[in-house]
Formats: sequence, structure tokens, C-alpha cells
Amino acid sequence: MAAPSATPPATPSVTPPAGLVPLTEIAPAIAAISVSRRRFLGFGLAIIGGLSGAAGLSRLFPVFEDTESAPPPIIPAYDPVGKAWTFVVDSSACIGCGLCVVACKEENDVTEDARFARTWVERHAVTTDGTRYVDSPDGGIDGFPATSTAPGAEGKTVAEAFFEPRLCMQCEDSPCTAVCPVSATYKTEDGIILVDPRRCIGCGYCVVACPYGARYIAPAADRSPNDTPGVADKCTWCYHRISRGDLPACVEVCPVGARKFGDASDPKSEIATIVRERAPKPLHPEFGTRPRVLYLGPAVEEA
Amino acid sequence: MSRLDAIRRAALELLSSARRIAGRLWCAAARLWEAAARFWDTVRPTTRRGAALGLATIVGGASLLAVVFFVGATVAWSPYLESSVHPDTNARTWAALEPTYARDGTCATCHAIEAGKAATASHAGITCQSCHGALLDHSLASPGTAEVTAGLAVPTNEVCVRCHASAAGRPESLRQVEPARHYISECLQCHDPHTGISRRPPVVLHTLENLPPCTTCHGPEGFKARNQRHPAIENDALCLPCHAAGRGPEDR
Repeated sequence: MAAPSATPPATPSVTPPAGLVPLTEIAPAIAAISVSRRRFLGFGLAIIGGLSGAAGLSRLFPVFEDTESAPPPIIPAYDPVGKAWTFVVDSSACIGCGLCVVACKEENDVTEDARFARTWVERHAVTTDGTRYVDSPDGGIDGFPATSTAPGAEGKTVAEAFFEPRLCMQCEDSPCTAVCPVSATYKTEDGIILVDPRRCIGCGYCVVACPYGARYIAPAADRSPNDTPGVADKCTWCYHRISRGDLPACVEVCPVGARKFGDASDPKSEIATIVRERAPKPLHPEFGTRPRVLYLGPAVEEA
Repeated sequence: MSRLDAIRRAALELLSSARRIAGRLWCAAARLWEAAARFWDTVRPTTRRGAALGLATIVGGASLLAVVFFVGATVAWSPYLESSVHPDTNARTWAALEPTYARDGTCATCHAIEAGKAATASHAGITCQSCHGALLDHSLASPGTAEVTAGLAVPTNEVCVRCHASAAGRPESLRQVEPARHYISECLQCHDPHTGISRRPPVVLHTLENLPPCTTCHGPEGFKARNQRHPAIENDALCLPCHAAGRGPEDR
């Protein structure tokens, strides 16, 4: 133990590193300039408060944001109330040409990378040894080669096969809207599920939640309403087309009529007739999401 | 050890000066309050009442407005409420996107001949844009301008083989070929794309001079007769009238 020293407490003997002013030297200065500093701080706080308040307000009311930057969008006159949009896919008719995938990319400016597809086509093939293989080379954007490209199917002879076009099922009980922590994805009055890219934080919960694999995080700007990369994206059933009375682009280009689309609330429409007479069924009803894309042919018979 | 002491001392000094500043602030506030109270005492009671009422009205009204506005806006734009205006405004933004594919039937208004051909043959029911791509801009361009032809291209083999190359899963009823074994060069050299019909026998693509007889390479089985129309050929003289370049009969 050191003996108590008679000398007064030593002044700091450590030389502060160059460039650092010891706090002991600053403190009196602070006291001296406190009045002017106080006024300065007051001004600063007022400015900061005002700015953050304004930022918070515009965040809270996003409608204030886009009036100056972008011209107001042309809103087509469209009444979503009472629409029963229905999509029927006939897997027995599909020939796997991939034109729907091409049209979707073109129509919606989906990123070039074939792995990011709002719609894609799968080929379900059973080889002669009874094994079932599913392949979808680049989502079917370039069509399909003669035999299955699924791993393990090389050299095997395909006994039976069919094509299964896939897209967003626009489920009635949609898990994607349920899990979104910021409610950026939501269902419109006509049942289409959309994403608000300005609210989406890109967390990817919805991508994981979708049992049909319809969602992805867009790596580059799609032609979303505000061209935001890094937000969730998916098929909208070409919302901009159907609200104008057109068909979705994939339906428009399908050369064999494997994709049918329409408003089933009109009992005389083609789609209502198909639903009534041919009783299409959803894929994997056991997922319990009540999908609104219905399938005909081997996709449901053999699923 | 001494470095730690120095820091501690500095912190203590800072704390004490902060205390001093706080004390001065408090004193100033108290003086201000006292001054205000002294002034208030000199004001006549009626004026006091009026001033208090006016101030209360202004402050209370502003607060009430702020609360109403804040709560209303929060409810209206809340991402968590079904009734919020956010889905509606966003859905309208989606709906306002511009299409690139024209409506079915648009093409026939100008291209009635091609549309008519397609409508009567095996390609009936296939829309123009299946093979030609998105044509809305083309259909909206004013005639004679450069926009009419901008981005237009004649579909290549790539489009034909999407459907007609044989592949597992394609139905038997669909005409399929193995491109490598079909007479392939340019599909459109022989086929009318709008009807799908082969309009002339395939032309010979190689030179015709100094060659052994055709049947040296092309046996009756060599180039399979499509549609079983082609008789077995024994004699070169029978091949070339049809198959030499440019000599095929037009449009069967």
C-alpha cells in the first residue's frame, strides 16, 4: 500500500495526444461562451426539429411527396367493385413454347435475369422408370429442349409429360399480405394482390411465405410504380391491362389458349362457362390459401 | 492510472460547469417568471380575463385542430388499416402503367390480308403478337413516321421452334420436327408463317455442280417425305426441277 502523500493531487501529467485539447481547458471556455452557445444551440435545435418534423410529416403523408417530383399518373376510369377476376390454366393445352414468359418480361419490364420471373412454365415429366422430374430451364423463357433437363433425368426416356404454367395465384387467404410487417402488400377490392414499393422494406417475409413461390425481391428496377430496386415483386395479372379491359399479356400471346382470363361475375362470359362446365381446380388446395388461379388437365389430375 | 485520473477530473469539471449552466438557466427562468408575474399584477382584471380567454382559445383551438388532423391523417394513410387510402392510391398507380401489347384485333384493322390468311389455317387463333412481339407502339404510331418500323423485326426460326421443335410434353396433335433433321435453314424459306403451309419444296442449299447423283446422299429415306407426299426418287433429273434454288412452284 502506498503511503498517503502530502502533496496536493497531481495535475494531469499525461500529455494528450496531438490534436486533442484536454477537456479541462475547454470547460472554462464553455462556461464563458455559454450564453452565445445557448442561443446558438437553441437555433440549431429549432432548425433540426423543424426539419425532422417536416420529414416526418411527409413520411406520414406520402401523398405530399410525389406531387412535385413526378407528374400525376393517368388514372384509367376503372371500377374494381364487383369484379370476380378469374384465371384458368389448361395444362393439357400448354405446349411449353414460353411465349407467355417472354411477353410478361416485355410487358412488365421484369429484370433481364431469367431467374426472376412473374410467370414461368414447368415441365412435369415421368420417365420410363417411373421417376417424376420437374424442369423449368430459365423459367421456360426460351421454350423447352427435347428431354427433361432436371438433375438426374439425363439419358432417361420420358414416358409422359405435361407443362404447367405458373403465376401469382392471387389467393383469397393470402399468406403474403398476412406476414408483411409494414402492410406494403395488400389486396385490392377486386382481389388482386399488389405491392406498394414505397412502403416495402425488402425484408423478404412474403417471398418465404408464398407457398407457390410466386414472389421475388427485384434485383433491379422493374417497371413498378416508382422503379424501386430491392423491393418485393410478383405477377399482378397485368393490373394495368385488366383495368383497361384488356387481357393479361401472357393470355394475349398464348398461341394455344392454355391461359384463360375473365370476369366470372358475368355468367355468360367464357371464363364463367369454363368454371361452371369444366370445374377447374386450384393447385395444392391443401395449402389452404384458396388460390384464384384454377387449373385444368394433368396439373391437377396428377398433382 | 494517472491517465484515468485525468479523465475523471475532466469529467468532473465538465459536470460542474454543466451544473453551473443549468443553475444560471434556472435563475434566468425564475427571473423571467417573476417579471411576468409582476407585469400581470399591473394589468386590469378585465383585461386579464380577456387575454386569458383569447390565449386559451388560440392554444386550445390549435391543439384540437392538430389532434384532429394528426389522428385523421394517421387513420387515412395507415398501412395497417383496411380502410386506409394507401391501397387505393397505390392500386391506381399500378393501373396507370402503360401497356406494351396491343389489344387483340388491333392488327387486323391494317393488316387484314395476313390476319385473314391466319384465320383460315392451322395458325388460326394465334394472335399476331405471339410471334411478332409487343406491337402497341407500332399500332399507335402515325403512318409514315419512323416510329412505325421502330423495333419491328421479322420473326426468326427461334420463334417457330418454340412450338414446333419436338419436345417431351408437347401433344402429338401439334406438328413437331426435329430441327436438326428437318430441312432447316430458314423456316420462312418454305413455310408461309401465317398459314403454316409449306408453300414450295425445300430448295437445295448447296452447290449443284460437280456432284455425284443426288441419290448418293439423299436416299428415299434420307430426306423424309413430309406428309408422305414425296415419291421415292431414282433419277436426279426428277429432283432438280423442284428443288433447285428459286425454282419451286409458288404457293401450293
